[in-house]
Amino acid sequence: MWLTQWVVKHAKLVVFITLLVTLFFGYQAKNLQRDPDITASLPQNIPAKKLYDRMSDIFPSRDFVLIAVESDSLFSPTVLTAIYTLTQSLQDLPDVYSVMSPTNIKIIRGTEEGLDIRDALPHPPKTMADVQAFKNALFTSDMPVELIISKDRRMAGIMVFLKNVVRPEEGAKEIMDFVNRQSLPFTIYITGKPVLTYYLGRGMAKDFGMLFSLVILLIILILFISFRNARGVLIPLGVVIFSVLVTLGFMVLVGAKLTHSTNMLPILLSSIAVADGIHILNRYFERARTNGTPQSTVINVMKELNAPVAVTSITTAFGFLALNTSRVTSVGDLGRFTAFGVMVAMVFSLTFIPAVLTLLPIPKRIRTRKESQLRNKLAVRYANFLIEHRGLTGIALLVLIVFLAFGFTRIRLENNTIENFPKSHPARIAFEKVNQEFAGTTFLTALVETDSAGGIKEPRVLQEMDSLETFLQRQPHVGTTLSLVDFVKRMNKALHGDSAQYYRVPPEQVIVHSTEWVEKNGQWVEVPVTDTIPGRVLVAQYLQLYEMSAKPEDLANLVNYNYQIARINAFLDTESSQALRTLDQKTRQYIASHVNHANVALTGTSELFLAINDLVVKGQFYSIIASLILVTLVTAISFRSLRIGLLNAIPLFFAMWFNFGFMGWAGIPLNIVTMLTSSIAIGVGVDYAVHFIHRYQIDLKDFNYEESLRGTMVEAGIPIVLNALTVGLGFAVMLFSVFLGVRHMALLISLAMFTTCFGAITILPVLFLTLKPRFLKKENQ
Amino acid sequence: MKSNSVLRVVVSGLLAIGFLITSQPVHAQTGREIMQKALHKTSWQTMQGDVTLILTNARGEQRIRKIKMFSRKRTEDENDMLMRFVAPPDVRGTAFLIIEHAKGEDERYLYLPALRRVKRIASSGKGGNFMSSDFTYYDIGRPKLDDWTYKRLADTTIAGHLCYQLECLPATPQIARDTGYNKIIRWIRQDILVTIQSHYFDRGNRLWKVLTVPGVQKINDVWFQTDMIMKDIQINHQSEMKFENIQVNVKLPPQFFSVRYLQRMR
Repeated sequence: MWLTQWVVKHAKLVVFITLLVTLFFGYQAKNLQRDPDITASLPQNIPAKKLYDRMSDIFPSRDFVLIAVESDSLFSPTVLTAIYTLTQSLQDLPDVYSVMSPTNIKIIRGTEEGLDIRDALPHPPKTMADVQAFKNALFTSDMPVELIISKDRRMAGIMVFLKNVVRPEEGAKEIMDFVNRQSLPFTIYITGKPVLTYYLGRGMAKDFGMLFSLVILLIILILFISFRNARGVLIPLGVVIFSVLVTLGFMVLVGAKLTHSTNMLPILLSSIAVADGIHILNRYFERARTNGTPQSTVINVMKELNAPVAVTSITTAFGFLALNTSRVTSVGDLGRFTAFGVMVAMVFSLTFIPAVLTLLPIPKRIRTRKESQLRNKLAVRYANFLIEHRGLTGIALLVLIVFLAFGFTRIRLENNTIENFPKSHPARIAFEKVNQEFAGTTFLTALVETDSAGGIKEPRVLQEMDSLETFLQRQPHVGTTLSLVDFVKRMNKALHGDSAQYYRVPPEQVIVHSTEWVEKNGQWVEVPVTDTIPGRVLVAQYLQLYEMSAKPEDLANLVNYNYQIARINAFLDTESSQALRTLDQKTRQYIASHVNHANVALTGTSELFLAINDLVVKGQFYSIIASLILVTLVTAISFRSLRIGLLNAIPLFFAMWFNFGFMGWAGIPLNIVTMLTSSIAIGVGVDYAVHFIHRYQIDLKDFNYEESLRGTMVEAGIPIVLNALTVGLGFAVMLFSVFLGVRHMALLISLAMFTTCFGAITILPVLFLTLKPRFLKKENQ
Repeated sequence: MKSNSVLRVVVSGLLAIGFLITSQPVHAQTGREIMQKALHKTSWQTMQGDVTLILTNARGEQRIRKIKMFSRKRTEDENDMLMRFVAPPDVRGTAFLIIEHAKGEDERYLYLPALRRVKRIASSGKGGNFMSSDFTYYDIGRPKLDDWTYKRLADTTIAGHLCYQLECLPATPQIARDTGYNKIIRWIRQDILVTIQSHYFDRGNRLWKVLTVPGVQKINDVWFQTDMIMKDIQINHQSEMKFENIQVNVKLPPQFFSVRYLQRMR
């Protein structure tokens, strides 16, 4: 109470400070940065993530963009010339490390006198004969052509490897802009992880601007309908905008970025922050009818509302804080910063609103509310219905609960960046087309590490890598593989007169029959000799030969420069976590039982997606438990009764049950976005039960269980429903998001507002009427 | 590309990077004039020396290669060159021979001791990095004055030596494309006209590589850069190239640069 008195006394100062604080933080908010890469929010102690980051230290390029050029006459001089030119100019882009295309892929061939290493297409073709020669060279080259020529041979794929110093999404943008500027007369698809990250960022920016504007418009509309006057609209709106600005500014100050999760913060926070303002102004206009000074009216209103505003805000904040049990940093960020924002909104509601109201004269003309009588009638009728049909309602609820439980088994766990985009989105079209026609753009990397420098050159290591590659190639969804072994085998074949039987890793000991020049009687003569050479020496000399005669970059991206660490990349045509999981498990088993001469660890984009999936499951479980426990504790403390705390949790529990049942039946996958629903719903929805129980206890002092319900339904039930409508509609704005994941979440969380509300005004009454719990009567706040 | 890049490295560039010192002190001159003087080439018939190439990665691991190099000016614009690897052990004895032809493709041969065979290599390799180092063939090749435009910046002192500072911009977009450089800043010692530091900027205009020259040496009245360190600051990787025992105009047998000799010499 001291707070309100102080605020009323120093009203101008409070308004001034509020504006100053908002201005300060709002100014910071300008510098908010965006990080759309979902995998960036994986914690460092996840092995796959650590390795993925380590790959950028070991190899000069980690991420690639795939450009697919489609033409009915791909193998014609004109089209090939265009691809030849495009390949060359892509190589010149500042962010590009290297380019692998059908025209510049190195063809290694043994010749009569030696070795021939050339680009598949050394110069633009002029005649169909040139084209035919190119085709022959390409398709007989032992190169993984699946990466760069589509299955139907109507598309050429150009793999553009980005420098590690470049932010992948920026590199993707540079390449996409460049390709678009060429305005080539072909259909072109561009995809790869950097491209998806770029589109995610663009979608996030679009969401951020559009959805926030929408939610603000919606709030204005709701406020106008509720109050129909300027202060009723402007004051709560001020609290909303101020809290969002302060929170975003605070994020900048502590160095946080907007991620796929925190991108939704303004919408969530706005919907929540407006509720307190509505409450306070509602009561203010009611009180304003009775005579009084602005000061005394404000003090009376706040005396009643300080506590509920504080309790509901704190429980909401705790619900969000529960998201911190997730090890996904972006999810934790959303929890922390929204909790912070809810607290800021609470402070503004308890200071700024009363201060402004103190400074304004009492409104002269207050709209009398006709509809309130209708509402009251409806509320009483609903209470009567529950009283008469408590048994039936109870049974109906049980049936619903059982039905929902069957939905649980149907829940799909699926983190799929690509399925997050609508089917018509260019990112999804390109991804699906390319992954259907080429080897694939998701990759699994087996990082092969030996004990000492040069260890990779040992034939026993290369042989194990070779069989691991063969194993991988046989797995479903694996389009092809690429490793140093392919180069060694090709060199071995080329240096043995292109004989197919030499397309293999040399053995540990190689017996070489050759001739030697010796000087006899002052004359040089050739004599036959037989040497036994360690296979490793032969491999070393092959690699040396390759390095001297072709592009060393080809090797640099597959083996570290002291030949201690190499990688096998398996290209996959899917991002489905279920397919990736199977591959991961089988590959680990294979490695455990077949690879003995090197350490093999798995990483790559496929492993990152799996890591996210694991964290989603664990995070989901823990955050639900944590938020239920937290809100139960907070309410138990504020009601000074553990039993009431537990009673409070019942509608929330029902809402969770409904949420997962609905997800199962509606086929909405559980993923990194939809997992946020539960904790948010618990944090926000707990208010309804708190209000309802609080009111019921007060009424029980004077009336019996049935009569109290009628009163509570009018006094608490109506505001609860209005609040749930407001918040639920606010969240529903996210239905207009670019991303399917966010749309799903919008649906789930709006539904959760209605189910928590339903739980409070239906399940609780049925329990009260059936069990007639005495502790509600005895224990008062 | 007619003249072979590897050849350019060695023959041409390699030691031609040895810059001639002009006897007169240089006075106020344009950037181009300074560069022209610095590029003033020495003339030699044959040359040999030992090269050590030390690559160091971000974690401080090293990879060391030792090469013996020989070259000969066969005609005014045709050179022969032979590189014989001394270390690491598994490529010891590998030898690389290049016979340059003014007309037609250069002949390139590699001797693989493991197979005791000489293999002729035909390749359309454009160059790129020299033996996986941070030096590109262009960096160590024969510098071409007209590839760049020069702007003289304020003189500065580097490692105690007063230097000219030149900003070199690619003369044509093609040069930028071929070299990967948008800009090079060179510091050329005023007393001996040898570049002792360079900053290379990538095509996004980010600082990419830094060249420092801890060693210069005067051989037969010619100053050579005998120790060069090229550091790629974007990936924190560096390559050091050291020259030792440089000798010029040594007599080599006439058949020295031939396939037969390649196979016989051990």
